[in-house]
Amino acid sequence: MLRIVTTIVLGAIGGYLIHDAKSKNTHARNEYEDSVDKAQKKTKRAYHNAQKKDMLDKLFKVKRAKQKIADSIYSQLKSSQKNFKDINTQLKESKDTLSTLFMQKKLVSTRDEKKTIQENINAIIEARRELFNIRDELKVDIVELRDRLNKSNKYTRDIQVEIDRVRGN
Amino acid sequence: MKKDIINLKTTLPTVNKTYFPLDTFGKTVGRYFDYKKETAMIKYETQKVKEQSKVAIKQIDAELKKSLDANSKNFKKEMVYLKNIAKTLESSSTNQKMILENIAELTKMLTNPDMPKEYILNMIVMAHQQLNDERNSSMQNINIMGNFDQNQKKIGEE
Repeated sequence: MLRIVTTIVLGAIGGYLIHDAKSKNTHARNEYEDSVDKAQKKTKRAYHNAQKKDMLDKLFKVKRAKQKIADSIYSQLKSSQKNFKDINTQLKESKDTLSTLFMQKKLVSTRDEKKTIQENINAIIEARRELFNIRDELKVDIVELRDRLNKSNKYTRDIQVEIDRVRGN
Repeated sequence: MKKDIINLKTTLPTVNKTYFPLDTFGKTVGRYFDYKKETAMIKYETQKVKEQSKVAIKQIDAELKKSLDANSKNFKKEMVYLKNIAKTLESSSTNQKMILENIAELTKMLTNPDMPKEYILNMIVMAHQQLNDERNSSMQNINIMGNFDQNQKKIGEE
């Protein structure tokens, strides 16, 4: 009788202990899975944020460098355009001078005076030839600078698109 | 940044079951302690994963800082390079402006009967040559900048 009772009691205690230990073990396993999951997510998020921060930092710096390049090209373009305008003014002024000289040439009577005026006219024409050459060269520069500026602005815009894309991720 | 930092999962331990050979109750107690031991090991692993996560985050922060520092260093280097070219371009612009003013003055002098025309015309041709030199130097620098612009990778990349 005592043996039966002892077996039942010990069986019950043992059953309870095993049940308790098993349930704690399962709980610990679940907690482990949860912790791993949370830790993975947290670390992945930190990694993703760090990557994004790093990429944005690089892109903003590239954009600043590209803007600096675009500013320099723009400044050169403006300068060449101003020079082109100044050459045009000089050409106009020299044209007026030529007209005056032609008028004077008509008005003077002596051969010497006509000869002097003709020499002045020739010199002005020669100078105008140089001015025309300079103007043509400046025109070529302006076209090239415009092309460069367009490219530079495109590169800057591309970087902005990339920045927006990274920001959106 | 190294991606393997973010892998934290480990293999959970399983305890070798050691049973008391004495009797049924003994076996039960043995299993109980096996479970207890396994649970303790799992808890230890859980704690380890949490710690690993903290370490990994610290490592990510450190790598980010390193990368940002490298970005700043490269950026400063690039900006110094670009600023130097920009300075040369500015100085060339000023020179071109002065040469053109000079040419304008010389052209005006041609109408002065007392001035030697041949000499002035030569001076204009020379000024034109100087202008061409300045223009070429400017365009060369613009090309350098343009090529740099075209080939510029993301700062920090080699």
